[in-house]
Amino acid sequence: MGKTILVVDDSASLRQVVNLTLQSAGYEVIEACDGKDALAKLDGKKVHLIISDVNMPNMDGISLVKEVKKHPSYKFTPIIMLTTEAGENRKQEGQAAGAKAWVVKPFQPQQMLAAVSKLVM
Amino acid sequence: MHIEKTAAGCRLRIEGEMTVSSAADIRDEILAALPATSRDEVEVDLSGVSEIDTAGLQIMLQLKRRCGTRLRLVNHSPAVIEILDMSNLAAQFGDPLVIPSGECPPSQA
Amino acid sequence: MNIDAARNTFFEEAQELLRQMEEILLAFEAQSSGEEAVNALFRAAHTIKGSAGLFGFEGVVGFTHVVESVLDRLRGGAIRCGEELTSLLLDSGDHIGTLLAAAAADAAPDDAALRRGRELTGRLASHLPPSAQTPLAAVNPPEPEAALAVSGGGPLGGVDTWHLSLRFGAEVLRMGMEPLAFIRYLTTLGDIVHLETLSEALPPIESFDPEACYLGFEIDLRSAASRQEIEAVFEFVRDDARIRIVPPHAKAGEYIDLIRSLPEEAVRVGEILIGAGALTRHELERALQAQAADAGGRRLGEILCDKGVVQAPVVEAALDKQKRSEEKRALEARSVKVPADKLDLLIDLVGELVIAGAGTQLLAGRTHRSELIESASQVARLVEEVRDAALRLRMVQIGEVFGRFPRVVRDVSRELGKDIELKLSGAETELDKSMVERLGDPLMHLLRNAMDHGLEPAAERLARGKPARGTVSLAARHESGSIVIEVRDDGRGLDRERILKKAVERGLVQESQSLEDGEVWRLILQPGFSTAETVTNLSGRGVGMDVVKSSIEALRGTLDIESRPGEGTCMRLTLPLTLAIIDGFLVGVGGAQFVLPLEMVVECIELPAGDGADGRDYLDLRGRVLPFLRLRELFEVPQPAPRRQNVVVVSHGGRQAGLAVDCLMGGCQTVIKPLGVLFEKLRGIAGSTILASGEVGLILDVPQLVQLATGREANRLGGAARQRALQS
Repeated sequence: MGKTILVVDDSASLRQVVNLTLQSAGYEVIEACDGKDALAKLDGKKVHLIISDVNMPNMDGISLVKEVKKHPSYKFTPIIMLTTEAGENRKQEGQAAGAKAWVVKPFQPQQMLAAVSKLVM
Repeated sequence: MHIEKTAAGCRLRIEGEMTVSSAADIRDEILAALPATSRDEVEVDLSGVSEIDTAGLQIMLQLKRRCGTRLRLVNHSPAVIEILDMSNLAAQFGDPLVIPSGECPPSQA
Repeated sequence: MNIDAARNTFFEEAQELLRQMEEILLAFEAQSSGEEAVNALFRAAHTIKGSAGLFGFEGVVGFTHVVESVLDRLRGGAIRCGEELTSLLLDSGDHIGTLLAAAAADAAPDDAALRRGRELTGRLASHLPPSAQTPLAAVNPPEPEAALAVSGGGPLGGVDTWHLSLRFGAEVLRMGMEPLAFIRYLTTLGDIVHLETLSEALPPIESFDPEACYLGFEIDLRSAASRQEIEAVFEFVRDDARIRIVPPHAKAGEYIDLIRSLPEEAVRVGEILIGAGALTRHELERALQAQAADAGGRRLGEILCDKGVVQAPVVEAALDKQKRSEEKRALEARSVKVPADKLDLLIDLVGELVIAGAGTQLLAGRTHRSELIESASQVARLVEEVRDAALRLRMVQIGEVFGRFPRVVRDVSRELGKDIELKLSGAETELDKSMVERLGDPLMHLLRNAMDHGLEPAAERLARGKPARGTVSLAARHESGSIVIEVRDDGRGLDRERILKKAVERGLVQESQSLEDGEVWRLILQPGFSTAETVTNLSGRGVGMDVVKSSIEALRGTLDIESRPGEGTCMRLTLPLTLAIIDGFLVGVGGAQFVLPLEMVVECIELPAGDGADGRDYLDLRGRVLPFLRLRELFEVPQPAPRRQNVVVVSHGGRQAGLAVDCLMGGCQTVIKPLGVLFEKLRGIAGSTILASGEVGLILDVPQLVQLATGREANRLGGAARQRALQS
């Protein structure tokens, strides 16, 4: 059975690109458009990885990380944060919140797959 | 986790995840089922292990430590075989691995 | 810095790299290719490609990638650099230059360039294995072939075994990091030959935290990946794990080579090691922290060695590199680039200052006040030093011109099918920058002439008992205030009979005239004179030697020719060091004052009463015949000659002559002002100057006068000396 990955980004086109890339590598993908939507999708089913943008409406990526870390079923779920190179401050904040894996945008699909396979067995 | 006491000893059957998410619960159940003073033979059925990670592997190592040669691991699931293969620990446990037909674990050099 | 400035820097850097590539390739032809040179060649192409990619110059990237691939195989020893490949690489370098020029102009390469590119790519591809002849991959192509090519043994030879020692932090599992996932990812870089899981850190089950990580791993990884690539696998756990990467033993040599071949920029040992790939930035940070915490004040190198991160010889190589870089940097820090026009302005002002200073000194002398005189002379002395220093600013090594000739000689020798060796000497000789710039073309022409007409074909040389390989040499040296440049060949020498025959045909000389060798040789400097029987595309079109002669004369220089049949020809250029200021020697004839360049004055003697009284134009100088000119006659000075006259003995180009004048007035600083167009055809006069007294002085053209005096046929020069052909 494929591992499940939650992709959180307010850009539909980015979600689609990531979704296609991950699906073609055999992963199951759930999409969410922001932090709130993501928390709603974390309804108890097993999720092996969360990929989240930092800047999003409603609930941003850092807040999402903090919520996920409080959630008993998902507190140990690895998280990849997507960032632009300028976001050094947010990165530190995110790391403090427990997000250790960062991927810089724009990225090539292969880079994303590499990052994912370092975190998902 | 399914625990069954027999005349010869104790038979454990671990179901579902053996990961960091469930490791604390499994540890507690093992502590309860296998007191340190026990000299029972212990057989652990791993056929129901769907996922296992380093935390699960550490549990297995703890089991081995506690029971030594009295421990027998049987019916390894593909996930377990894979992690034993990767960590190169199969020999340390010393149990025969039966690779289910048609389902080969990813090869490791 | 904006993108345009960075672009410009890139173009300059690329040009410099291309020049380096050319230099290295030419050196290949002289001797066998050294490993260092091949590496440098590869790096140059690699850097051009990499930087071009940053700016999106896809054309440059694409073509350079092919060149780089060939160089990579060369570097790995898979192919050898023969004559054909060297030629091809030189042409490829030129083509990269063309592509860069197009990119610089924001234009697409033209059709000819595109055709050329396709042709070269095709030829380059023949040096690549079939599998490598694929176009450049879009994203950071890994370079496994490079590592594979290092050793030839076995199918996996060259792939080294790294040792990785991993100790994950207790918290990694809670962060969602799975150690085994990283380890599994390692297999995308190579094969895990051995793995040992260390569980000793596991506490008894009672005190065991099931969510903490206690395991460590020792891994032998057989991989062609670089240290950086291996470290990158663990990027997400970098801060939460201790990761030690021990390079394969064989890597030490590779690192040392890399360190030695690095550009001499980084001055910190750590940066050098990172540059060579022997250390990653993360490892360096760790080591620096350890160093900061170290009470013993140990050096970084020691700490790295102790930790087993870097082998001692590699550290030593880095330290050695550091020393060299510092030396080079110190040297660079001492030089400043200044635009030439600013320098020219300075020289101009200094020139005026010299004249004004001399005027002040003269006026001070009239006051007879000793303090003022002393002070004025001190100022004059300092001004003189300022002048010398200012002129030295303009001096550059003639090697700047020489540098382009090896390529010319190489290309010409191919074209002519002659085996020619170029010998350069005195490249460090300094002369005025403006001269250097204007010497390139005349020297190029002389060199081509020497190769084309001077040197015989190999068969002819062998028949004469000479080595088949011809030699042309270019030598520069300082000689009594002048710079002398010789272009010499060991060819057949000038053909006296043929030159004479042609000169008679052209009406330059009478058949009956008997000429000395030197006079015959000078005939080839006449306009339209060419003796070549076949016209090649190099020289021999009958333009050239007269052009060379006039461009040398425009630099106040002379061109002398020596030649011996069967032994070769030597073209000797004698040039002043600078064009702006000279130390002059002032002489008077009647009411006129003339300046002679002091460096050309040998001695001054009194004109013996008997000598020349009868109109003869030579005198006896300690038993030698010294031809001399009477400036009074030459320049038609109206006042009658005084009873006692002096002769200034001047020398130029190895010949001496006397100049009869009325009085000797001593040395003076002279700033040369060119003559206006109206007077530029005047013979015997090189320029004018303002004398300290404010009067105008004419500067004598000593080289011309010497020629005039020693030229037997030209003992009289009438009128304003406008005749052009003095020798004929």
